[in-house]
Amino acid sequence: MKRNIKFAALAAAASLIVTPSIALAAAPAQTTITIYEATGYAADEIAAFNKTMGYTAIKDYTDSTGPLLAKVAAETNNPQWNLLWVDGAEAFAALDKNHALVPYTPKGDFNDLGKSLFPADHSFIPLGATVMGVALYNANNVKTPPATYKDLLNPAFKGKIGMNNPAVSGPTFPFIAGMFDQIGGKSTKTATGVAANIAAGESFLKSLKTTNGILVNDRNGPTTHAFEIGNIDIALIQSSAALNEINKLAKTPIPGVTPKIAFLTKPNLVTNVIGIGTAGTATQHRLAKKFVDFVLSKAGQAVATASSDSDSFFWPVTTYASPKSFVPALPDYHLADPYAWGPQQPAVDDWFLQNIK
Amino acid sequence: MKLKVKFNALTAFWILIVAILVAPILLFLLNAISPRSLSQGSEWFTLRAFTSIAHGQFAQGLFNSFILGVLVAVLTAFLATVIAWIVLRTNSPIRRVWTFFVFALLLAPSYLIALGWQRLIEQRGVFDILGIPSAGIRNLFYGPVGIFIVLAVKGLPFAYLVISNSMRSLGGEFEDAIRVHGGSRIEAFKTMATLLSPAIWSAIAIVFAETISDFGVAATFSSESHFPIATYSLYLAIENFPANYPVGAAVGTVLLFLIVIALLLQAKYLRGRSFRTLSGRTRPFRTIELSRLGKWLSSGFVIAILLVALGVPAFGALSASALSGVGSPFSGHAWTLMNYKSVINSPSLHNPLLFSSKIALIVALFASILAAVCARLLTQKKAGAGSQILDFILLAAVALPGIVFAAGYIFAYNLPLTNSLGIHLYGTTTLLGLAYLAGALPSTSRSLVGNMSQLQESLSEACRVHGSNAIRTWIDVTMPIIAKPLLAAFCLTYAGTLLELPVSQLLYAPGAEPLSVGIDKALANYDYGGGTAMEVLGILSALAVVAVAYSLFKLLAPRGWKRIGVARGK
Repeated sequence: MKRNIKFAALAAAASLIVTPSIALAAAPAQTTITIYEATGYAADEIAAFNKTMGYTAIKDYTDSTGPLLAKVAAETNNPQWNLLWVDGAEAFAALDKNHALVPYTPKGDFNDLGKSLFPADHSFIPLGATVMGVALYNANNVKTPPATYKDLLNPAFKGKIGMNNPAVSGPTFPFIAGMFDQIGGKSTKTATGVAANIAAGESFLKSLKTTNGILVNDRNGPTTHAFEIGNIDIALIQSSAALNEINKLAKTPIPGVTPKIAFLTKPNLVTNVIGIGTAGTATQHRLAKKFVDFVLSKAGQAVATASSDSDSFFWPVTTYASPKSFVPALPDYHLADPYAWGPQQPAVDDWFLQNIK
Repeated sequence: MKLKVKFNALTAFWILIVAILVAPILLFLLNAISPRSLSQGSEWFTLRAFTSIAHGQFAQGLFNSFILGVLVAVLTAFLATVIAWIVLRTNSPIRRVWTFFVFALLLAPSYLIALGWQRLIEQRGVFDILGIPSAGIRNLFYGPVGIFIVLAVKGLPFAYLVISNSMRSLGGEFEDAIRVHGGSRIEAFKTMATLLSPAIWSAIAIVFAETISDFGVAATFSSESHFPIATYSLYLAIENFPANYPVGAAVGTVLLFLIVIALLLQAKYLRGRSFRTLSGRTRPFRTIELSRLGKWLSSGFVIAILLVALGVPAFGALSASALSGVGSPFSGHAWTLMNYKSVINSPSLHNPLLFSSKIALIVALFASILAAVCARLLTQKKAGAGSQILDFILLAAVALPGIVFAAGYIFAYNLPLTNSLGIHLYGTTTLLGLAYLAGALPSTSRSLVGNMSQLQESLSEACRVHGSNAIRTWIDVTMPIIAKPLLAAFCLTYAGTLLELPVSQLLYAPGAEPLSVGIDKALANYDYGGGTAMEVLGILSALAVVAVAYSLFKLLAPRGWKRIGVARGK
């Protein structure tokens, strides 16, 4: 009996050990890379690129920005990603400080906006821009929309304001960083200035929560859904999501909901960024750079602007791509310094989870 | 040569157990006290993570989970004993269909049950569309009551399988003896319950562990109801940015501690007592003939439970999948099959189902084989230290949420050391399969232990003395005892893997999305129709596999395997 058990154990164990070897043996010979992305039209770009390569050169792993950054952090010892493509330059600045990115100057003719968004060392690459700090409001219920952050404290908005969770939503930390900058008003060139802005910003958010409450959802989608079903009247979301909502409700109106956009003080610019990870071989790095070049090429930009996903409602960074017809001119914006704010993201996100969510 | 084979077999087995169960768990727990060892902090030794969870939402979550675990375990053990008695010992009409519903309950993950309720009672949900007032039940369900009900629904089939398997093996002579000597039916029931103590305590331990480690409810009701439970706190610590693995590990450690307490209580109760009831002289039990009222009451009782457990969430999922615009504020809802057509026509919607079906089949086969081996090792008469360690590992592993397993796997298989050893499993479907296996093995093994422990070793010895070899003895003596539970373990693992959520979410390989990830993405994009249609098709496919497995068993299995505990020649 015992011998029989042991034979069964051996058979089971051997099978399980052999199976991975078979899987590995069956791996394709062509160079492949893995991209972690949280960009709506990335799948279209990847499909188009793979088509030009003639095989599945890029494996797509898609999720929200927060979980992706958590995964990247968990893989610090042995990163598995070759490309990271999410909203918010702050996370990339933090990765750059940890020497986790391969600097690259891509091919492509960048416009002024694009040129201004490159870091000095070209450790990450801007692919587009949106703004955050956009208040999507229901004009049926909100007669005087907020124009500044302070206006959000108006008791008329009690229980009617919603925003995203910066620990999950990519564009929300740049929003919070810019909001804190503008509320604190100090220069972020020094650590003291950053700390002062954080203290002022946290104090404001606490007041807002105490005065009016904030419905915090993970991402743009749930926040706009709450807006549609009337749970909130003001959604502090990304410009692309707000424009998408206006288009959607123009096509299929909801009785009692008239969506309009207001900017709070200066909206905060959110850079859509791609970065090349240090993991992998030189061949994989070359393939990653080739993909970045493709996305910034005329063909790649055409894929982006042809997409119907709301993430494609951006302001382009190249000269040969135009914003969609319904996207307004880029407003006067505030840009938080990613290198000042990137290292603060873990602490600020944690504070938000503990105190605001 | 013989010695070498024995050594290799056991070594291979233990290497596998360490690789899929011990190393990931230990590496994860190590985070709680030594974050620097895994590059998660600056301290080699600290208790700061435990200090962090001693207050606020973490402490509240742990307290809530403990209370829920106790209440759910006790309630489900009681309900399972009563239902098992109705189904196995009486001629209640409900017994004919109950087995089907047990597997339906088993294969419906808690998040799907919760989602079924949500589709019904949410704003602009099915009830709102149908004009049924739902504000009251919505307020009730988005809180501890809803969480308790969903967890109890998920605990019930586990408790039932463990208890019914033992009850099925329990001969009728004990009850007969009491009745012959003037004892009442209640006294006979009490005696039967006492003899079933090992199974009842196992059921309580398993359900307690399953309850406090459940993630599906955490991902649905808990997150929206402001009623924190431990797994949701842990999820927040691990999944959101910044990930705080030491804090997550500390929560996981406390969950393990709670399980150890349950284990000790179980051991203390059973110590020094014998519950061996199955022998060569075991006699079949007589079916109790219920009166018409008894049949109505027993069937009504079980049907009421089934309605809450399955009927309502199934209606929620089915109606949401067959209605356009559920959850949407846009007017114009209509009954339609378009959602199912979308799933069939769209690769992004049906590929996850096909992928999960394949991997679930492979995992279920391996899990069944390993579970039988583990159960036999656990119930050996001369249980050594190895059996005790294995017992502890399996029970402890039950307590760990799937998301913790996944986090552990990230560490274990992504360490530079692992890669330098030539093990490149991280980010592959193989690792996902191993994590599924590790998640399934503890509960499947323990579900076989009850039956295996009733097997008197003298039966095997007698078989060998009369000339049978080891394999023949296993087939003639052991398989009749474990065949049905083994089949149940296979089906349970298949269904559980098919719709598993947390491990899939964290470990799926690029380009190979499992079903739960596909459903989650569809629902996150407010494609409630497509998402619920995927749910329904997933469950139907699992039911089909279960039906095929049982049909094959009925057609092909030797007669003795089907008549467990019944004397040959009847």
